[in-house]
Amino acid sequence: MTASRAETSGVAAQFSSVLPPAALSLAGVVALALPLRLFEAAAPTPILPLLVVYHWSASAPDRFPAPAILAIGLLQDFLLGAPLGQFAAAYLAIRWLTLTQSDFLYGRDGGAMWAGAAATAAVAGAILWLTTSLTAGGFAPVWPAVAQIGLTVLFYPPLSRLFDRIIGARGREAI
Amino acid sequence: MLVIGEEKRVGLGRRAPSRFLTLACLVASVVLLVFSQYAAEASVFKKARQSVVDASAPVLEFFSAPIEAVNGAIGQVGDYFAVIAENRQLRDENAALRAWRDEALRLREDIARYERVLNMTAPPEATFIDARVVGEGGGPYDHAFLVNAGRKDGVEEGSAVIDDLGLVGYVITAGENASRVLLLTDFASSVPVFIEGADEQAILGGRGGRRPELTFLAASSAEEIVDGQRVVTSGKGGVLPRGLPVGLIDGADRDRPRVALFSDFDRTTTVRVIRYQFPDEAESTAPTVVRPPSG
Repeated sequence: MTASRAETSGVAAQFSSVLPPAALSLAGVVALALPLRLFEAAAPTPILPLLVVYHWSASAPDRFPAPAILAIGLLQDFLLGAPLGQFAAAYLAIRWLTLTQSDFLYGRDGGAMWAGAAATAAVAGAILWLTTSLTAGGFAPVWPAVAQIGLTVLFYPPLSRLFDRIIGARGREAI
Repeated sequence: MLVIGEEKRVGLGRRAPSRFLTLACLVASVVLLVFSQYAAEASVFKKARQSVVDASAPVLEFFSAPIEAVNGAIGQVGDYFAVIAENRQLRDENAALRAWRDEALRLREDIARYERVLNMTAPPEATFIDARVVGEGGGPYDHAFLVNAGRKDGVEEGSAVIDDLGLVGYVITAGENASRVLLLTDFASSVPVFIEGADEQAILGGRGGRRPELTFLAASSAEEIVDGQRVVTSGKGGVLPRGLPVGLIDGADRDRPRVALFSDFDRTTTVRVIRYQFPDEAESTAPTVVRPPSG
């Protein structure tokens, strides 16, 4: 009885720790699907889930596990009408790359983290371009991905502070 | 694999998260990507897409209404500054349109007379389903609209979609209450068209940019193509009705000219889905098949 209660509270704790990044990503996915048309459609909508996946993978990877990222990516694929698995693969590639660099990224200051965000976002952009080109059977133009990923990375410094506050409020990764 | 930085940052007792699960999920998503391409029309994927379209439409509709209001207000402020120039332009257009109206009325009479003489059966009239754009593909390569009309309203997959300026695209996923429209600029879009003045047939293919590209059906067709010629749907393949305005030729490359579309997707907020029954003879002579690509 006691063991079962402890198990239940463990699952609840895990769920509540996944909730903030999942909710932020979900908001980002909905924003992407809305006809926001920023600055009279001169600017694309930033891909917020990309930054959430990177930041949590670097700072608190256990709080945004791979299956949750897969689910968010697939939802985005369905919602935007993208090839199924495209954004999921891009986000999971970001997580995998970030995890391979976690020893160096852990506890770094803003500049290094921003550089990491730019590098992983570039890889995600390359995956989007490559998968689009392969599924369409021709080379897709590079600039749509460059513009949208570039704009997204510009938003990282202010958003990373918000992310840190959310992570900090719940206690940093177990150390 | 260690790339970033020069030295390790060691957290006391910090647990390294499992990379295996991440890699397994990554492989699963790649497998899904490949599989969904080869089995795009499989009922499981089709039903899943329709369900997501139906489920997401009310949420997107709720959020898109205030966005549309704000965008409209911003547009109105801009319109105030251009009101005099716009007024002058509208007067000129109005005068030109009056002349066109007289011409159209005369032609209508002529056509009706010829049809009576030839004992022709008029093709069935098209009907329209009005819909609002509640969502769009926000990714770098996803050029699509989500509109709040579905099968319940009479929308079918493959139906042509227009706005007040011209062809926008066609329906690729028709849910019960909402549908996804593939725009002409999407890489997967492919529409049979006719070039007026050159009397040439071609396929208009999206290339991800604002101006889609023409591919000619015959090798020597590009000879008479010049900038400014009007491009309309050809009706080949029996999917999109004939004669819908698409755009104007606008490209120096004569082998693969570009088309400047009449529609401005950045401003489109309402669309009309066309319900059109093709006459039997058109179906039997259809040489080209327009395949609605997977969404």
